[in-house]
Amino acid sequence: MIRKIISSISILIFVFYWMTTLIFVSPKNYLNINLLEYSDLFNSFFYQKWVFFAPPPKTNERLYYTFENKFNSKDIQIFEVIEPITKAKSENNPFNTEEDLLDYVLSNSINNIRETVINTSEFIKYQEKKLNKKFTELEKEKIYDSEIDNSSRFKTLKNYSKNVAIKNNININNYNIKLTISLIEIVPFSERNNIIYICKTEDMYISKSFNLNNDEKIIK
Amino acid sequence: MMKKLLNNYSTKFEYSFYCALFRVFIALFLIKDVIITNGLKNLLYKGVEFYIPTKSFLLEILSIDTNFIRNNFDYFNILYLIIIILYLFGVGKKFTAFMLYIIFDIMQQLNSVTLNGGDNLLKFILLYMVFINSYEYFSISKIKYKNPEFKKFDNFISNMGVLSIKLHLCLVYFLSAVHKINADVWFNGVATYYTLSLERFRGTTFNLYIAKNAFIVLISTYMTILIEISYPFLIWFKKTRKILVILAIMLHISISILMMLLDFQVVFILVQGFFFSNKEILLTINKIKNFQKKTKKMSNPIKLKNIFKISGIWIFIIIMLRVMYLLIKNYLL
Repeated sequence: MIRKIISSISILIFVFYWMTTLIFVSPKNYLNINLLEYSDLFNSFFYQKWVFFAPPPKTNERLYYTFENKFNSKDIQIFEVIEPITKAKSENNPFNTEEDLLDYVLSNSINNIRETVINTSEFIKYQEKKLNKKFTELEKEKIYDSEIDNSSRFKTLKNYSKNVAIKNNININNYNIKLTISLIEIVPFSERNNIIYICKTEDMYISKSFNLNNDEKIIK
Repeated sequence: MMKKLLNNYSTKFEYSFYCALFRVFIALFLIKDVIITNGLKNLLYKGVEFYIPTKSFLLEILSIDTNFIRNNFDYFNILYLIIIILYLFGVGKKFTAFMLYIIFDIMQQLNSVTLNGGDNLLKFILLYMVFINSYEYFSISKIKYKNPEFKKFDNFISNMGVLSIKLHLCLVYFLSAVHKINADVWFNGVATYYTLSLERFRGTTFNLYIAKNAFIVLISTYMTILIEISYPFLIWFKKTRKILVILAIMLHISISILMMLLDFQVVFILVQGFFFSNKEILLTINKIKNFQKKTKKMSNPIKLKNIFKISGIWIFIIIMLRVMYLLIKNYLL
């Protein structure tokens, strides 16, 4: 009898668990939007995302570090870090753990910053609607600046400049550093055999100059 | 219906063999991960290199400072390794399984930036494994119950655990398919062109050639959606189960080769085995035995034990070679 009672309670817990999972994991709908206040609690314990390249990215990323000598304006050194890592990752496959993890840290940090920019843009739109006023470009820039600067992923990329500097024998005290994320469009499927189209276009996504004393400034 | 479910699930646990096998595989898989990431622990877990880690929610709930664990990560890592080894041999049974789940979750929270879908699924599988009696095989001892009522409850909970694993896999495929159908490139049959063109996931030099073939792109895109959308519904029927499992395994193998997502896909492939009961696995093995007898290629009849021994030895050799390679790479070179 006791076993049956405990088993019945287990079934109820099981049903409750699967109901909540279905509600919070499914795409945005009436039910989970109404229960938004509980989603943080659910995600703290059972966070999951099953999108799997839906949609797949249509760009490849590049991350540049520009070192500008404070005392010699002609001394400018530029290093791109993503392409060599992805190349090494492909070449050393399947024994590419180090490159793979480094790629995850850098590329996921870039993706996270891109998500932050999108979320901030939505936040600004929401605030404008709520307050019934238009933010000036300067105000918008300040909000973006603060959101990006405070993200741990941007700090990660900023810190990586030290590794780049050490690797290339650069004394960071003598240089201003600029971090640039750019995106290279994958040739659209319809144009894949168009020879004229196959010329890489690279668009700058974000560019920030900083020194490692937390004194950054948005350039573009 | 409730009564029938209770009775059916309490009478016997039909998945004990694969659950035990899965326990061993996952333990070895996690040991491999510990060895691989050991060389990069300063970057990934200790937070002493450029990566800025975030706080662990679970540790904060337990009133343990995340930085305390980071500062003493070497000891924490040894504890993690000990728990995995205990789990591998079935020592401590469900308590060890629970400890493994907790530590695995903390490890994921200590470094969330390198996680992928395979890691995410594995976290849930480890949670469900806490409830499953996976100690009938490949364990130093079995769980013994003096009271048959306890045994019945154990069967019930184990069956619920296996059902959860199956449901979770179905949920993953279903949601993935729903999102894909909603994305233009998947809907229009060109998505694999973009996935194969990504530099980060260029597993072979053929990726770009395959991507340029419109026919392959179309077939692979729609086949992916077809497998993912049909899996949650057709996997429950005996007639379609084997076909779907074979298709799913083929899908995951091709992703692992073409996109360099080996660990991710290994988890998904291993989980497929939960759809086969002890009876079905034995039946398949017997069919192979009978086939071999018919062809008279073997002079001695194969015993089930020998199959496990031979496959076990091979798995052990492959894992040891991989571990040796990683040790040499991480510590000697």
